[in-house]
This record gives sequence, C-alpha cells and structure tokens, in this order.
Amino acid sequence: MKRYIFYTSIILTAALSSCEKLLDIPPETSITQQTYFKNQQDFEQAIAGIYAPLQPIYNTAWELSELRSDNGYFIYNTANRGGKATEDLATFTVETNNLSLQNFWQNNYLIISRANLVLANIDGVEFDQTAKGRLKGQALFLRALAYFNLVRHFGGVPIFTQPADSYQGAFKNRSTADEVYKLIVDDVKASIGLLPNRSVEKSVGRVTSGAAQTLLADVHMTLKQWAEAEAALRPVLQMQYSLVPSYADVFRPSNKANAELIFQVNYVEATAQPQFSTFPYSFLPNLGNISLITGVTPATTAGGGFNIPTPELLQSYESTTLDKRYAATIGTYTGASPLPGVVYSNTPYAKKYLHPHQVPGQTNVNWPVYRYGEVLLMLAECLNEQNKQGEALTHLNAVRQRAGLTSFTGSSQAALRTAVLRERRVELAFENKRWWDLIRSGQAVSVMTAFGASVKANPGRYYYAPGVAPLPNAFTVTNNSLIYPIPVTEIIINPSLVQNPGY
Amino acid sequence: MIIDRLGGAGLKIRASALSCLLILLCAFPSLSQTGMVNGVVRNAEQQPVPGAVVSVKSQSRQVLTDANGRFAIQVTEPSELLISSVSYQDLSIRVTPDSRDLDIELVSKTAALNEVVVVGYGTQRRGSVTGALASISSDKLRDIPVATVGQMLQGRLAGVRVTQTSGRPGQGINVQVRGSVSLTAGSAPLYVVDGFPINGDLNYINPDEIENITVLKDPAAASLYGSRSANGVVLVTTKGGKSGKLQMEFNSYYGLERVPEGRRLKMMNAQEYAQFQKEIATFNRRPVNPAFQNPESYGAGTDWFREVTRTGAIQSYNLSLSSGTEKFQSAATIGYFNQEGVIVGTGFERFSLRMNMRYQPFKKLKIGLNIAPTYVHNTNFNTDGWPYVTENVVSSALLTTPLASPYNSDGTLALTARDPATFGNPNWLRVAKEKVFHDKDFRVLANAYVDYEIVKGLVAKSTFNAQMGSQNIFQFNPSTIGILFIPPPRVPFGSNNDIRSRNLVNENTLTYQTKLGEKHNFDALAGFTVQHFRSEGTLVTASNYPSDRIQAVSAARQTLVTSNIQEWALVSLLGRIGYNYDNKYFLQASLRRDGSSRFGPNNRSGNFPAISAGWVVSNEGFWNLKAVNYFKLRASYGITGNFEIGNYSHFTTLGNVFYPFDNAVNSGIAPNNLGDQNLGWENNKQFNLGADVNMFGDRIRLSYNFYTRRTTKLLFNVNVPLSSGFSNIQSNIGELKFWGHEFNIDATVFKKNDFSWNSNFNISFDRNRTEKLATQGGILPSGIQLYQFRSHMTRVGQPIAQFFGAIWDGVYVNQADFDKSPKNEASKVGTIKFRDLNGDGKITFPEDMTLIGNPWPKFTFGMSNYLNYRNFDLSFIIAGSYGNDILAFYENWTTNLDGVFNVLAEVKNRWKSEAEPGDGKYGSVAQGTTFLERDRWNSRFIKDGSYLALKNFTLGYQFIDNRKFTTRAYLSVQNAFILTRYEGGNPEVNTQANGTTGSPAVGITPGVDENSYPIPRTITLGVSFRLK
Repeated sequence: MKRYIFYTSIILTAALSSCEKLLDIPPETSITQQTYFKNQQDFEQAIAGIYAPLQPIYNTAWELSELRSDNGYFIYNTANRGGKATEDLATFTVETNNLSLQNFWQNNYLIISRANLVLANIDGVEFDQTAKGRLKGQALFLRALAYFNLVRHFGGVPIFTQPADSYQGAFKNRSTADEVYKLIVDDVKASIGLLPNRSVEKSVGRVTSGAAQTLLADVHMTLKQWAEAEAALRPVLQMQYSLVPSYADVFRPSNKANAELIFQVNYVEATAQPQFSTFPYSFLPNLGNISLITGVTPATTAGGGFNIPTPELLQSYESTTLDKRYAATIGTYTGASPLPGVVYSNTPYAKKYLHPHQVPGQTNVNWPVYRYGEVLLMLAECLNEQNKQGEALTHLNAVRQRAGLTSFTGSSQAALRTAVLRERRVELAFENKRWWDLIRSGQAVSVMTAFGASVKANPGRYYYAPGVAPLPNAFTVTNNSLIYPIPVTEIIINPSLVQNPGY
Repeated sequence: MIIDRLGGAGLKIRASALSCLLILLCAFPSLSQTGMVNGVVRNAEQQPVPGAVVSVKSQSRQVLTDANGRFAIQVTEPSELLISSVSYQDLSIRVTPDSRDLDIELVSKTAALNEVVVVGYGTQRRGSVTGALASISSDKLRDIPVATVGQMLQGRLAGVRVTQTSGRPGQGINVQVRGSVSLTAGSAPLYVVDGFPINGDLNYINPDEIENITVLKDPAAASLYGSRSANGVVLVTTKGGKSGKLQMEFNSYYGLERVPEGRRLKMMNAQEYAQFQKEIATFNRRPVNPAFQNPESYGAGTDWFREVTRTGAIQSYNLSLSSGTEKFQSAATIGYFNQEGVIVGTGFERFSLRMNMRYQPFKKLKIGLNIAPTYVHNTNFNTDGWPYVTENVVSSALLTTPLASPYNSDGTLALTARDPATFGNPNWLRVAKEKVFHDKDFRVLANAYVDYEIVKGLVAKSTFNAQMGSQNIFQFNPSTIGILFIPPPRVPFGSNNDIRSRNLVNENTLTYQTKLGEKHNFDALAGFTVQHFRSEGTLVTASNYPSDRIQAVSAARQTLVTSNIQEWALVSLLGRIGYNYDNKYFLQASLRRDGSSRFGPNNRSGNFPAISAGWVVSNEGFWNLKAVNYFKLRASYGITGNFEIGNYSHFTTLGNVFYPFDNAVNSGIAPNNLGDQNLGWENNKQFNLGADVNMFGDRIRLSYNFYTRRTTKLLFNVNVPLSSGFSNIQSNIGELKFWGHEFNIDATVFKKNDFSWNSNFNISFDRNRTEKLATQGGILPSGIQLYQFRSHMTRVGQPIAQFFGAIWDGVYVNQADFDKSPKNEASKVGTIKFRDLNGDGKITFPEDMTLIGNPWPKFTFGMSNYLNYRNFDLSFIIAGSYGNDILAFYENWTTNLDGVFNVLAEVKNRWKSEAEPGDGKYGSVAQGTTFLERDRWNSRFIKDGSYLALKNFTLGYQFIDNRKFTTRAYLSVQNAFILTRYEGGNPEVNTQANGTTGSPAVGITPGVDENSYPIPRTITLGVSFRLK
C-alpha cells in the first residue's frame, strides 16, 4: 500500500509540475513588453514604431488646417452627406464629435506614448552612446512634434512624459498651453544635440538636427519669439540644404532625397503592408472614372472633392504663367460630374502631389513637413519682425527667383510682412501652413469672416450646385475658433476634462 | 459551387419528393382479416412486466402477460390495444390483425422521478437533483425544419432564452441562460457534448444525432465546470446503440422557404420616390431634375429587396442504424442537410456522420468510442448590418433607387444602379450573384473512454477527447460588384483564410457509491482534467488583381499575410460528494479548482465551490395532501466563473507596426495594449432556491426557481482616454447583480383512449442591476459609436447597457412652437425637436442625452403542445418576449431625409409646412438640418420588441405501424406567424450579437437592429420510415 501511495504521489507531482508549464502560454504573434527591450536593435524597431502614426496624421492633417483656411474649400455632395464632418471644419460649424479631430488627437498621442516607452527604457540598457543618443533624439523630436501639433490645434492638453501603466494612470487633466510649450522647447533643444545633421543621416525621412532646428524655430515663431526663432534657423543655412531648381521637382516621388526637404513623412506604394498615401486623391474632384485625371487604370470611382483651390488662392498668384508654381500646383477639369447638380467647368484641383503611380487610390508621394523654401521665408519673417529688412529681402527673393518671379523691392516692415505672408501662401499652398500663418499674423478672424461672407454671397463660385449654399450659422468665426474642441469621447470617458470655450 | 449546382437541380428534387409522397398516400394499406397479435411487455429497464392486463378496445377480450411479459390476443380489425399494470402508466397502441412480436415499453408511474438526467460528470435520477436544470429529449425535437440544434430549443426550456437574431442559413442563433449578460466576450453558455467541453457552439452537430439536451443553470449543477460555468452549461448526449435487433430509421423532409410579406419594410415605390425627390428640391429651392418633374409617369419601379430575395429550398436526409449485442453496441447516423438561403447567393449545407460504439468485454469494463466527422459549407456573404464598408446587401438593397433596374435593356445584368439624385451604387442583384464567398469547415469530434469498476461501487473512468477543425474561408470581389457609394468597376480583391484548430481534453475521474444501512446513501466523485486548445490561422488578403479571370490569391499583384495564433490551457481538479437519507434529505457539495493560462502567474488558479440541499417534503409521514404526490424543496449556493477575457490579455504586448525608410517597408514595434498587472478572476456568487411539485399522480409537474447572482470584480475591457496612447484596458471594474424567477409546468392535459394532449409552459423573469463601477465618473458607455456617441450606457443603480440618447419630442410644428422651445444650432421650424434635459435652453449633446430604453425583456415565455388522436399527431410551439426595447438603428439610413437613398414609405408623412405638419415623426427636408434626427441617438429609434410567435406547427400522420415497419408523414411550418408591434423584420434581432458585419461597436450591445437577414417562413413535408 505504501508503495502505491509513493508511486501515486510521484505521478501526481510530475503531472502537476508539467501542468504548471502547460499553463505558461505566451503570445506568438506579439512579444511581451517585459521581455522585449534588450539591445540596440530592439530600440531601433521601437523608434520606427514612433514614426508609424505620422502616416495617418499627415494623410488627413490638411482637413484641420489647409481646408479650414482660405486656401482650400470643397465640392458639396448632396448625394453623400458622409463628408459633413470634414466640411464642418471648413465652414466653422465644427462639433465636438468631429472624427477628424479625434483621429488627429489619438494619433499624436500614439506618438507620445511610444516615445515615452522608449525614453523610459533606453537608459536601462547598455549600448553605444552615439547610437543611443540618435535614438533618444528621434524620440524627443517626435514627442515634441506631436505636442506641438496638439497644442496648436487644441490649446493646453494632458501631458504624459511616462508610459501609462494602469487604469488610473491613463487619466490626466489638461495642462496649460504654456506648460506644453515649455515641454516642447525642452524636448527639441535636448534632441538637437543628440541628432546627426543631414550630411550624416542619409536616410530619407529620418529626423535630423536640421529638422529639429526648424521645428524649434516654428515653435518660437508661433510664440512670436522672433530672436529665438532666428537663432534656431541660422544653423539650418549651414547644413547644405538648398532650393531645388524646379519647384515641381520638390514633391516628385522620384526625387524624395532632394536637398530642399528637411523633414518629410514617408509613404511607399505597392508594398504588402499598406504604406501608401491617399491625400492626392482626397484633393481630386469626384469622378465616375478617375483615371481621366490620374491616367492610372483600371477605371474606378474616386475623388474626395476636398481642398479645392479657392478663387482667393488662385488670385494670390501674381501671374498664372510667370509663376511656375501655379502650373505645378493647380490643375483643372472640365466634364461631367457624378454629383447631382454639379458640372465641372475648369474646376480647379490641387495637383501638386499627383504623380504617376501604379494602383488607383494608392500613391507614393511623401508629405513635406518642413523644407528649405519655408526656412528661407521663416527667416525672412523673423528678420523683418526684428526690423532687419535688408537680409529678409534676400531670403524672400531667393524663393521668388526660383518661382520665376522678379525680386520684391518694398522695404517697409508692413509691406514686407504682407509680401512674406503672400509668398508663403502660394509657395506653401496645400502644405498646411496658411491657417497657422493667419493665426500668427492675427488675421484669422477677419480674413475668414470675409471669406465666409463671400462664399455665402456667391455659393456657385465656391462649387456649390444650384440652390445649395452653406447654412446661415456657417462662418461664425471668433477667437474661440482658433483652437478646436477637445474630442467629446475624451470628455465622456474623463468628465473632469474641461472643454474649450465656445464648444 | 455545390449549393449552386443543387439550386439548379432544385426543381427536379422538388418534383421527386412530391411524387414520393403521393406513392405513400396511395400505398395506405387496407386490412380486414383476423389475426393473433402477440408481443412482450417490458419496463424502461427492459425487464419483463408480468401480470399486465392487455385488452382490445371495443371488444371484451383481455389477457394477462406471463412471467416473461409475453402475451397473445386475438384481433379482428385494426383497433386499439390497451395495456395496464398497477405501477405503470396506462398505454394504448394501434394494432392491426397482422401485428406480430410487439415490443411494448411501459412507463413507470414514478418515471418522472426515476428518469435519469445527465449532469456534469455523470448522471442522476431526477428525484435526487438538488440544482436547477432543464432538459429535453430528442422526441420533442423531431420534425423542426431548421439547420441547427439551438433553433430547436426556442421556447422549450425555462430560463433558457434562444433567439434567432438573423436568418442567415445555419447561423444567427443566440442562447442565453438566465438572462446572462457578459459585458465582455458574449454570453454564450459552455457546450459539452458527451462529456466533452467543445470549442464553439452546436452548429456543427446534426440535430438527428442528439438523444437529449440538459441545461445546467445554477451553481449546484454548473459549478463543476468552474471557470466556464457563469453563463450556464449545455450538455448534449448523442444517440448510442442499444442491444437488440438491428434498427434502421430514415428521415427526410423537403420544403420551401420565403420571407413573409408582413415582415418586409415598406419602402417607397418609383412614383413615391420621384415625388420625394421633387419635393426635396422644391423645398430647398433647388432646380428640380427633369427626371423627377413628373412622378406620375413612373409606376412601382424596382423593389430591390424583392430582387435580391427568392424562394429557397430546404432539404434534409438522415439515415440511422443501430444494433447491438450484450457486449457490443453501435449506432450510426449519416445525414445531409441543404438550405438555399432566401437571399440570392446564400446557402448552407452539411454532411455529417456519427458513429457511437460501446464494447463491454466483461462486466466491469466498458470501452467506448464516438467519432463524428462533419463538413459544413456556407456561401453566406455579408448580408447583415449597416450599409457601409462591406456588401451588407439587406440594408444596401433597401436604399437603392427604385428608378434603376437590375437589367440592361438587352436583358443582361446592369453594372450600376443610379438616378440623377443619388450617387452611383452597384446592382445588388449582381452583387448577390457574383460575390464569391465559401466558408468550408471540416470538423471531427471524437471521444474515447475506458470505464472500470475496481470494486463494487468504485468506478474509474478516463476519457480522451479531440475536436479537430480545418476551416477555409475564401472571398473574391470581382470588378463588377461594389458597395454602397463605391460602385463598380473596382479593382478586384479577395482573401483566403485558413484556420486549423485542435481542442484536446483528458478527464480522469473516480466515482464511489455506497449505502450504509437501509437509508444512508453516499456518492463521491474526484477528478483531474487537462484541456488544451490551439488554433492557427493564416489570412492572405489579396488586392490589385489584374482581372476577374483567375480568382486564386496567387493571381493578385499584392498580398498580405496575417497570422493569428490562439492557445489556451486549463488544468483542473474537481470533486463532489453527495449524501441522501432515505430519499428524503439530500446534501451535495462540490469543488473545482481551475488553473488557467489566461491569467497571470500570480492569479492563475480559481476555486469554484458549491453546496446544495434538497428535502422531499412529500416523503415525510405528516404529508397527507393527496393531490400533491410529490413536493420537494431545493437550495444551492456556489461560485461560478467566467474566463472569456481572451487569450494573453494579462500580458502587455508589443506588436509589429510598419513605416517605410529608404523606399522600403521597415518593421517597427509598438504596444498593442495596456496590460493590467492586477487582473484577477471575475467572481460570481450565485444562490438558487427551488421547488418541484407533482400533482394528480404526476399529471401536472411544476417547477419553480428563484436565483440571485452577484458578479464582483467584473472583467471588462474598459475605455481609457486616448491621450494615454491606448483606448482600453482589460480590468476588474465593477459589481453586477442578477436575479430572477422561472416557472415550468409540464402537464398531461388530457389523456383518454385514443386522444392525448401534453403541454409545457414556461416563463422566466430575469433582472439585472449595476451595483458598482470603478470607472471615472461611474459610467460605462458601450455599443455602437455614432458620430462619437455611444448607443448604450451602464450606470450604477440601473440595468446594464440601457439605450442612451436624446428624448424625441416630435417636430417644431410651427414658428410659435419653434420660438418657445429650446433648440439646437441647426434646428429650424419643421425639424426634429428634442427635450432640453439640463435646462440651459439649448439642445446640445451629450448634455441632453439620457437613458431612453431597456433592451432586457420583463419576461420571456414558451409553450409547446403535443396532441395525439389515433394516427394523427399535432404539435405547436410558441415563444415570446415582453417588455424589451429595440434600437431600430436601421432608420438612420432608411429614413434619410437628404434624398440620397430610397426611404420608408411612411416618410411621406413628414413635416412639409406649417399647414402640413405630418404625423410628427419626421421633420422637414431642409438642407443641413436632417442629421439631427438620424445621426444623434434619440428615442425615436426606440421601439417595443415584445412579440408572440408561433415558431412551429407540425401535423403528422402515421400510415403503417406493424411489427416490422413504421411510416409517418408530416407537414411542418416553421416561423408560422408572429404577433408584434415591431415594424422591423424580426423582433428577436440583434445585429451586434455576432459582431462582424454590423457597425463598429465596443462592449456590450444588446437589442440593436441594423437590418438583418430576413427570417423565412418554411413549409416542409417530411417522411420517416423505421424498420425494427
């Protein structure tokens, strides 16, 4: 009997301990965080993960800036009102539940949380200091860029600098805009020393110290700290960036490594994992057979009808023939429309990003976030604001010259301010700059109110079908309109978040 | 492909089935000679019954059975043979003078109590059960012309709510035990087939293979299944062989199904639609398109719903063989089932085989082997849910303009359906016909066991169970089809999904039964089980095909491979002890300890104890109430568990994300989820109090249960602010309470001579309430996100997942009404009016949203009746629900006032002017205002979902019944009729029940109608032959 008990207990012990092993089942299509960060390669991959949300952000960021400004409008589609929320951004009738805002918010915070994860772990693993510095620099830059996006669109937002690790840890109240800007400036400054410059970092789309200098300048300009902005821009002039001789070549997918681009968001086409851009199609008029414009077959129904160039933008080109940027930026289409009541007759569309590609709807063009042409205009603006008109003119005229225009000769601060602003409008058309320029120059409310009045007075000129017009409450532009509402889902989940005034 | 082919041959099969029946009718035998009828009378245990009185009705002859239960009696014409014996229920059977070797089985008068019921890890006599369970045997399930077992259970079992949420062939059945509501992964019970906890539901099991079904409802019954028992356990026993002669049975039915006219939404016809478009343009001062200038010139136009639906055929063939000797018994069932869906292109077929074998080489040893391969194939492409994203043909067809025709003038299928007001849409008939969808699933369910009696009363049993699955889902969208707003031509795309799964269980138990003295009875069970599940899926998403000619994914110019590997294991110890004194007092205690791979190492094990007691009051000496021959009280308390939190959720994992550098895709890595370090088991403490009352010698059998269940440490995938970089976290967040009452009555309403009427009625009252929520703000939004607002809301003190939205107050009928009422920025005279709940004079969201409806019924009920008169039998089954609301989300698109879709005919009665304010349901068509009534949740979407349905009605006739041969034919009508005020197609609907084709929803989403596959009415003719 004793023997039986002995054998039984041995079998049971063996069974139970092997069962304990049976219950250790880690996932096979993912890796657990506890076991992940071991070496440099692991952090390289985590850094690529921080970049990933840039794709959805810049595929649609135009909705919140260019479309809201007086550069881009839309073709009202009575047969599909699914575009209403996007149109609301243009007509200043935004509701707190706008999905574009939520997506923008979420994707920027994805960048932040992924950067936080890297920054929280990287000092715990030993590897080459320079490599580590470059990785940290990228994480800091991307976190700063995301917070800059958030603070410009929403004002003060919750600040996370550590990864959330529990239910309670996922809740934070809003910080002030000043606190957010302080964090951005600290992060960018820290990144500048860690990042390589353009001559070292050859990989297109990777963050460089030039990109960080430009971002820092952009932040200072937003805060109207002109001297600090100028100081940040100066080193960029020494980094072997230059204006590409032909404006149209700046955006060509075949020319992504050109010397003008300082920071761009990468897209590629025809890869197994979808990594293509779609924004060029958002900017095309709706057509039953879009290949009539794109030349890419087979024939498919497509086109978003958004960011349609406004008559105001078209007029701000000094010449539609001399200024080579006009032909590079604006296309027109004449023909039948699938939209009830709409006829295309020399209807303009933004063609700057439309280049040959393989599959309808899937383009490989990158999004230019910062480029040298803008740096020159930024510097011109900073210098002019500090009453250094002489040097400012040089930079402005470099841009004009490339465009095929004659040099600007006015010398008063006011005249130069207007000239730089107008130059930015056409040089950077459809690069999401105009809305921020209007805010920075204090003209957003007045310009957009006037624009709205013009749309309401003559809807047909703004692509509305006969009998259709913006609602009476559209274009009620106030200082509250300069930032967007916090996405309502965030407030539903965290009722202690305070909504922005006016929403 | 197979279904298509059968569809083509449908006419032929239909004709041959009819001629078969005709031959049967003609073959009705006329017999009139005298004969000596003989046979044997036995009881349920197959023991002979001596001394039973056998008499021929309408004649004075009677004889007694001998010691072997044998008898012989002279019969002159077809007549009724009556058999009676003291301790058995009277029985009458039809005989003819040439009936020979009758094998008559008498049912004990106390059979109801001695009946053996299947319970967890064993069987019990019904009289000694102390838990709450409901069971049904196969004879009650015959004749129902449906694809799956679940469907047969509608209205049958107290406390088990079976709803047909969609008419998709072979799919769409939802089973809820005791109003079980899981906030997480669904509320399906655990299914156990022949002792084997299977993965998935019963759709793969041929209903003809089933002997009986028991549903375990309370902890005393269910706790032995530990961490999977919270939603109840459904035990299925399949048919085994019996020793005796070879028996053969063939059952077949053939029928037609079609959508009842009364259950279709009434959309506008061409003339009404043109008028609607004309009025929209006029109202908004837009030029009227010439196409709509003269609505009178149009007739009815195209009814797209009618175009994509059809009359479908349903057929079933089953052959069962059973034979056995003392030592070896076997049974085999082979079946084929085919259902053509009422939506063009859909269908379901099943080939099934089951072989159950039992070998008993000597008295103490039993060896068994059951093996059941099944092949299921369906072509059910996406039909249900909102009209966007996938084909979802029901919603999409309803919305399409009646001005367009599915055919070109030359009779070929048109490519698109459009008119001057609407954006192009695909031709839905073409979509239904040309969409390629094949879901092919081959499964084998196998059980083997060894059962050995070590000493008297002590039995060791080991079982080895395997469920192997191999599934392939292939889809192809040719260039000729599209979806709403994306008309063809499109670049073709497809996908190929291969899923292999393996579910292995080993169970080892020891049972001991003994009796001390005359009155003390003990039994005990101890066991050890291991279960391991693994599935490996490989999905190839193929896009950018050069043409429609080659559909295989290898022809695509772009393919993307996604792996899905799921694995879990469960290691358990279990034990049960029972005691009864003189069949008067019963005590039982059980415990299961589960170790689960789904929880972290610190929280890996959970204990699930239960204790129960029973008292047969009627066995006490003082009981002298003659009318009540049996009265028993039962009580149980225990803990049941829920492990449906998904695999790996306690890990914080990183997964691959992608970003291109240098024109090549670069693999990055990023967190997938926010892991909760302290994630622990959900705890369900459940208490059950019950009584069983049998009256008038078991003629009326009444059963009542009251239960209450408290769920603490509720597991929920709760939303967190997006600013954390995450959207949700699996966490223990709250406390819920469930309680309810269940009544079940079985009655022999009438039984005399050749007429009998048996009836069952059951009714269940289930309630739930949220007790605590640890979330920020104490609320838990869930459900469909419509412009960022969620359709459901869980709040402390309220039932779970109430509908949430604004309160609809009609429309602003005139300027005066408008001026004095609170309004939204977009409101105008004539637009929808909501109530200002926060009193700020404005209508804003979510400030003016509140709880607007309850998806949970006040009670659900069922009734079944079985009548026999001579050779006729009649049965009908009723099921119903009262007091639940439905969120008719489909009105979001079927009443769109912008003129972008066809709409419900009743939209005619909208507000048109102050003089013509309509019926107050629909506002004006003013541009820019209409989103308020469709894109904000409000009480106009809420409808009463109460109904009473005649689920099945069957009339049968037995033609021949002699000692060798029995033949019966029947007519059966499934979904015969339904009484309801609900205007949508199906009051049992929930398009979010199975989750994949509806709009994006998070968490619990009950009672939502986004249009679903219509529930057909099915009329079948069936025949059965039995050789004995």
